Amino acid sequence: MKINGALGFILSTLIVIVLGVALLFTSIWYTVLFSGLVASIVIRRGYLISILSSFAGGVLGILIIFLMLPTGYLGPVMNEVGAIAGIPSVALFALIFLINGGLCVSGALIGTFVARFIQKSR
Amino acid sequence: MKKRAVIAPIIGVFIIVVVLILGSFTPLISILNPTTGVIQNSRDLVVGNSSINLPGISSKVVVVQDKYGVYHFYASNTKDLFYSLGFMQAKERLEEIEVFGLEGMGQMHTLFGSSYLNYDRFQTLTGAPITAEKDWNSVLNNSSSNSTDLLTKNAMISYASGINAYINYSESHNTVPLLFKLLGVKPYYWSPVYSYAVQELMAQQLEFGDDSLQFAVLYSLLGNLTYDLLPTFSSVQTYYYGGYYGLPNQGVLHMSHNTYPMNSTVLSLTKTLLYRFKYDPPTYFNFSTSDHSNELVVAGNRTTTGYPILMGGPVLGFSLPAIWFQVQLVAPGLDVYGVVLPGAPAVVIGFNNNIAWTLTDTQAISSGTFFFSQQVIGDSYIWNGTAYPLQTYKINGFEVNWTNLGPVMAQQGSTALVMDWMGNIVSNEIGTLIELNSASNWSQFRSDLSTWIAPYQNFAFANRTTIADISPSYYPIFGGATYNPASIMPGNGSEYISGSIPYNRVPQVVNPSQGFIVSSNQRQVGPSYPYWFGISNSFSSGYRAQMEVNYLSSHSTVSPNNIVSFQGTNYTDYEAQVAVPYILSYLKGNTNASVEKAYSLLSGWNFNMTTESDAASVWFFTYMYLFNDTFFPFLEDHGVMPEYNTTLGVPSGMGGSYPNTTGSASMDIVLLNALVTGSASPFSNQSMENLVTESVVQAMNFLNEKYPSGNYTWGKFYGFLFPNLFGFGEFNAGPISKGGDFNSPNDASGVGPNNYPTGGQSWEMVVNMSNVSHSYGVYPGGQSENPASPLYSNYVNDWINDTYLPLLFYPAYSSFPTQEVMDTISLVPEGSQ
Repeated sequence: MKINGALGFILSTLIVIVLGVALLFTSIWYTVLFSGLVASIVIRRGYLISILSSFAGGVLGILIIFLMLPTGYLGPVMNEVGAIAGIPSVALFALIFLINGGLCVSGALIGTFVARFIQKSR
Repeated sequence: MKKRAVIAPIIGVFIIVVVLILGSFTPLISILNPTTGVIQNSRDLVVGNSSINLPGISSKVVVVQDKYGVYHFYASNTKDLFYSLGFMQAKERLEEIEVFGLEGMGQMHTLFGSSYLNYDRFQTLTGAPITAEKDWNSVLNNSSSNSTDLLTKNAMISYASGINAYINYSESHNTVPLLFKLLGVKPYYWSPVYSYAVQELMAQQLEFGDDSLQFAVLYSLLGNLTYDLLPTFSSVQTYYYGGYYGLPNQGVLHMSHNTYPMNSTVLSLTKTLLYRFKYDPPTYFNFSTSDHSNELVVAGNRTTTGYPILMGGPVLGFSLPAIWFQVQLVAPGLDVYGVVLPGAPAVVIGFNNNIAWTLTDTQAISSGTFFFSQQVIGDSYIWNGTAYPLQTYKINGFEVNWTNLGPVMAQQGSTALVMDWMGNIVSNEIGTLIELNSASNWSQFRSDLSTWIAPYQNFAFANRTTIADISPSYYPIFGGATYNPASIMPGNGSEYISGSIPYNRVPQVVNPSQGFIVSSNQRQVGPSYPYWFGISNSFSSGYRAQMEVNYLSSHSTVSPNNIVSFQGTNYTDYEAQVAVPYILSYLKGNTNASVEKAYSLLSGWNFNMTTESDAASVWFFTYMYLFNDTFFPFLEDHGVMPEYNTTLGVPSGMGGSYPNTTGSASMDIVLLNALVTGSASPFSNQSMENLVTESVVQAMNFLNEKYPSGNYTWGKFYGFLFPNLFGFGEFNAGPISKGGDFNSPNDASGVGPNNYPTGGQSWEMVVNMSNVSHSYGVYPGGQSENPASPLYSNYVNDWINDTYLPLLFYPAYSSFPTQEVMDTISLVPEGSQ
């Protein structure tokens, strides 16, 4: 089946979200890079869609984790950590999104390269 | 393959490497990890009904958190009760518990790094960690023959298991407290030895000091004038709850005035040790011994209810989280309400269905810490001319040598300073408290306390028919040569501790004829007491106690609300009440504008240290300058100041209220006596009129410079600061303005803006013995140690505003009215539903 760009983006994002959240529960954060890698190999819509969908999936995955937490207390806890660390809590939140998105994107970059390599090998 | 094609995967690998480096060299990745990092701790803050499966309990324990946040534990046996207390206390206070344990054991560096090695070395040197191990071993060894030890052993093991169950629970749920996550360390497992380290720590904080070293240095400089500066008996105290009024016991007086002379080596060692006492002790929970406490109990024939009322107000250093954790513990044979310490499974101050009790520090006998100059040669010490081998302990990476008297604290050549601290006597005060929790009458209460060693405490007691007070402890009696125990003593065997004051002779009283008892750190027994019980500098000046006595004497009956109001909002300064009329008499007729203004304010003042009073500020600073003008030139002339400022501290009145000073109760007493008698001799040749006038001018200049508008109300100087326990200023509360001063029931030393009091009545409790369910109390803090929790500092405003909270006391969880419940937590055995 031929997957167009929009559909590819959506499917890739969904794969990254589902796989990414599952991998987060291994407690080893680095493993989320495999969500971007797998989505890129499966969907194979090139670097742009792969990068965008992986980052979006990474960010949405974190939002899902946040939704599983009692939101009323998340802010106070991060404010507390921020005050101790000397970093604004907003920056801490941004870092969580960036690191997760970044790891997914790194997987996507490698995955897209691998997908093209496989394609060329055929 | 084109070179451009590999750029993308290289960027991918680069991102991974950057994140890996970030995770390897900083704790950022583990802290921010979405499923195991700090954000998961928000789950731990949820207030709501829950059920937790736990290994280690045999049947369901219901824990009701009432609407004020207090935990009520209902268990079907005491083992499960103490287990659940350990679990829930750790849930709210694990950081605090673990820091307390490390502090007591001298192992702070294991959590906070090598900067704490000095403290750990000092703590190890004092013997506290060694004694903690001995305490627990003693309980284990005696549990087969001693019922208190058996009870203690079971409670301690269950409590430790509960704490450890929470550590396991928090690790498996990724909710290990933030401190550990941020430091990247795992909580250590609790053992009963740590509970005894907490017992030692409390004994150390309340009954441990360098008073004798200070006295020795002063005596070397002032000679017999030391006895004028630090007299044995107070010239102004008139109330002794334990009696013994009358003329001073001559034997005791002789002993106090017979100070062992020091040579230059001992003096040098003393200075070294004073420096260590001042700069090595702990950062956390450093309760100042100048802080004081209140306890009074009123008989039924003087109350509106017809039954006794007991008031407790132990003054300790403030922190967030606070030292206390408020609970009700219910199991067959036990139903007790009150406050527990971090790491110790017993209500320290509280009540049960039959009795109520509270504690204050006796401040007697040189804080139970005595120093001897002893010969130590190689691996031996000399006692009565014979060499005995030193006992060497290796603990916490340090080596400590003990003689027969105690640890060698400092040594130069063969001369050693050895400390005999009563906290190093093997004892089981936690066990005594556990026994007290279920006592039902005075006889049982008094009997339980007979094994109490240290810290030296006054225990006020009430049931429905009896009021009493007793100050049980191991108070040494000295044999042989009778040198002054308030200074360094000879350690060659000529003087020794030959025993302790018999239990039936320690200060105590039952149902006194005046119908009330006050024991607020003042000397308990009068000058005719036949045992050496310490000098006036050791105890509180007694002004606060006298003010409390005056209040009770002038009210034929009081209600629980009267006592709540008295404890919270009576800001009368007894010292001002006595001193100000004399000050006014010295100022009368003076035409200096500043003096006239001060005269006008002070003459219309009611001696209340209210926040809006200008006169209160005038009194306080006049007193401070008068203190300085009277004593400082004298101390400078004799080489005490400034030479010894770093080791003895700069003295000041009112518990060291003035910034960067150290309080001296004796000098407070001597100064008041000078005002009353009109002579500051032998400290100053100036007339009292000159001294007072000069100090008033200085005070008015200070106040006018600080507040040129003339609005220098007391509230601008006095207020309370509640610092975060771990030093994070963002989580402090205050300073918040409040009335009172060092001499009022709401007492603490310190004045702002650089020296706000950070201590005070740490648990205000008024128990109504007509119906203990109608009792009230509050502590400044909250049940949670987590600043993100709504229960972190929720009691602070109540404490400041004197809003005492009802102490809800229901015998069963089923009788708790729904509207009084915040949440209910069921702790159920693993595998059951």
